[in-house]
Amino acid sequence: MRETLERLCAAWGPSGREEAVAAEVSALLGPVAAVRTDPLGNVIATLRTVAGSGSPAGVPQAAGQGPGPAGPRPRVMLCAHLDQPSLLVTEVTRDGFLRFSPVGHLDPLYLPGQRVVNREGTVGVVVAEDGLVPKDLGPGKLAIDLGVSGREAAERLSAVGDVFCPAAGVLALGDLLSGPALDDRAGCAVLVETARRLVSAGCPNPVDLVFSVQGAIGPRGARPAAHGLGPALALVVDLAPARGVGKSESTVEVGKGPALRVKEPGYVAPPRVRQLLIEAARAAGLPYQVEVVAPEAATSDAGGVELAGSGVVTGVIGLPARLQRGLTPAVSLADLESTVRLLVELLSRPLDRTAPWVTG
Amino acid sequence: MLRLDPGPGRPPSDLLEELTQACSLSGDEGEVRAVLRRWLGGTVCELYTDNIGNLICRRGQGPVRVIVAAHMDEVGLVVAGHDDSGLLRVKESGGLDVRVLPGRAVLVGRPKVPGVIGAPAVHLLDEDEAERVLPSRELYVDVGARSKEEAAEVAAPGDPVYFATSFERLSDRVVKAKALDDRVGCYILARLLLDPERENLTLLGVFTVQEEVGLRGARVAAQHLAPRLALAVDGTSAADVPGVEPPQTCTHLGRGPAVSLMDGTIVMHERIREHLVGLARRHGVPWQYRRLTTAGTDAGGIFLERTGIPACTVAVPCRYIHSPASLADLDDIEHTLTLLRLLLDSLDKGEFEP
Repeated sequence: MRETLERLCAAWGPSGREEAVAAEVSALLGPVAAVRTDPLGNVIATLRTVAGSGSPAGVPQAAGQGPGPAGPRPRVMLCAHLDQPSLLVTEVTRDGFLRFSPVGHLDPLYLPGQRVVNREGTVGVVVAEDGLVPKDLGPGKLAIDLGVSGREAAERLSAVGDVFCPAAGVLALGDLLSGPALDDRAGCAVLVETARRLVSAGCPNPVDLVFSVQGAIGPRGARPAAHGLGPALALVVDLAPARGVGKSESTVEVGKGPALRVKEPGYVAPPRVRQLLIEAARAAGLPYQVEVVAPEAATSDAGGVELAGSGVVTGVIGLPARLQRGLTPAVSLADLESTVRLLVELLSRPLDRTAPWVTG
Repeated sequence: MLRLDPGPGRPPSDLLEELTQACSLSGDEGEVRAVLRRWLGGTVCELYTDNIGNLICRRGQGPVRVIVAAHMDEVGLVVAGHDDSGLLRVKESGGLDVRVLPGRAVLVGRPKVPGVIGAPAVHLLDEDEAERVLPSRELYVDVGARSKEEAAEVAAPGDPVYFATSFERLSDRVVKAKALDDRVGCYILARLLLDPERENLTLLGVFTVQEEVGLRGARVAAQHLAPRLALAVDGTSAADVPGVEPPQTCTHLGRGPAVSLMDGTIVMHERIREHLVGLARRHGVPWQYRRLTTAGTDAGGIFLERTGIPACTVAVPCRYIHSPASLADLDDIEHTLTLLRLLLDSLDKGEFEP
């Protein structure tokens, strides 16, 4: 899985320009799934499972209203987003600096000093205005320094509308792996690994993987993808901010297993889904934790997926990540492995079409 | 107030009382849904729960499809963790009036273990601190556990915390209960669904989920039910107490249904709103405008779905909403029901099109 993760993290993919990451994901999944790209750029992979060999449902359908237990098994959608937070160039100054607007959640506190790179590989460093005091810090007080002088020289390397991402790569940091693209390439890697194991073990349920576009700026790609697939159950895999230094609002710790989310802005998990995941974790003897309230910055695709079509029962599995506020979240490979095992445990048993996904 | 027959073998009980005693935080509306299923099952032609938990009751087969929506969820707290001393840390679910939380009796988890919302003792505070409103992160719930382990046996992170407020009649007209926002709406909608069928209408009664966290259930229901128009019936703030002048009062208890002008999520469909006011005037039904333009209702979730759905909110004035105990006037409830019946009748007769 580490190899998959590093390969995915090496790809450059800001919101709206996810092609390079999409190509990596498609290549990785080719052997185990029928892969296609939808009009928005979402990668949709239907696993070659026992039950999923047919074509995916083209129209949204209501769960529990199809054939009885003898009918087809409920479709399950797993979702992770392809894109990463980025900097959109909004002005090239006379002196040759690039003013920018953050796309996705980038805390200005952590931006100065950050190495960034555009699609062509031009490298820049984020700098703060001379004499800036910390209390005045904001994106408007920052710029990208390309190491050139004057507008003309800068415009040979970049232009208004150009996009920079924090420099790619993964750093081994003690027990953790740290890298700017881990949000949400860690989720993508978990999905790829889950797909491989499900297919080799033989999965009785039809499973679609959605690698969504624009997930770093809201549930943009995921909602239409879910609308088209009409799953009975969706599980979103994204990062969960874990306890760091000092006082923390977070109830999540790295290394203690997947974090089952209770709520985030714009989404509340159905208790039944949490119960389903807890039962699977216990059956497989896997660690898990409960994340009660995820902060605004960690809002996932779930809020959009849930509202798709006639409504989709949706859960969020959080991968505990330290340094989430910074540009380089750090995750534990052990947590990723436990998450893969949890998904495999859940999906390798036949899911009951008549299961009460929603209580009452 | 009309008592509905709960069916053979069950003690007579009042639907509004039963609805307000049921506990349902956003995303976990099973208890209220069960009450409604029990009262409406077998009496209304079609009853089902959709994918995200909305309870949908269809009445009639007519060509004009009308949604009337009332939300099942209420505000409360969620367990966030345990202290070493056995206290439960909590987070808010929905927009709570945090000023009035300390000292309130609560029920924790599905087994409804009694507890109390605690705060640092008053004798420890200096004058400034004593006047400060405590944010929910400084509050805790005490269930009498003496250790972290004991507390963990009572509740796990994610478990709900409900207000332990009993339903009471304070006078011949005024009732007290938790969650009148929006069990009054559920009650009114249940009564509407028990009316005789209207020939030209398909009345789609939608008891929605997750209103308090972003009007979410209503959006899904509107998408798959495809109505011609929609009405949200909700409880709204009545701040008609000393020291508050209109328009800050928002609504007045006992002055009839509050027709909304706009809220933070929708400017009400003007023709529906004007028609409602016209009906009330012609038929002598007391009514008032809701004077605030903030907050949100299911109408705001519905009207942007599909290619746009004309929608309006009618609300029952409730004092002290989003707190552990609220008040409503039974005459307001009856008059709201009357106004909605008049609207449905006029749609049935083809006297009004949005």
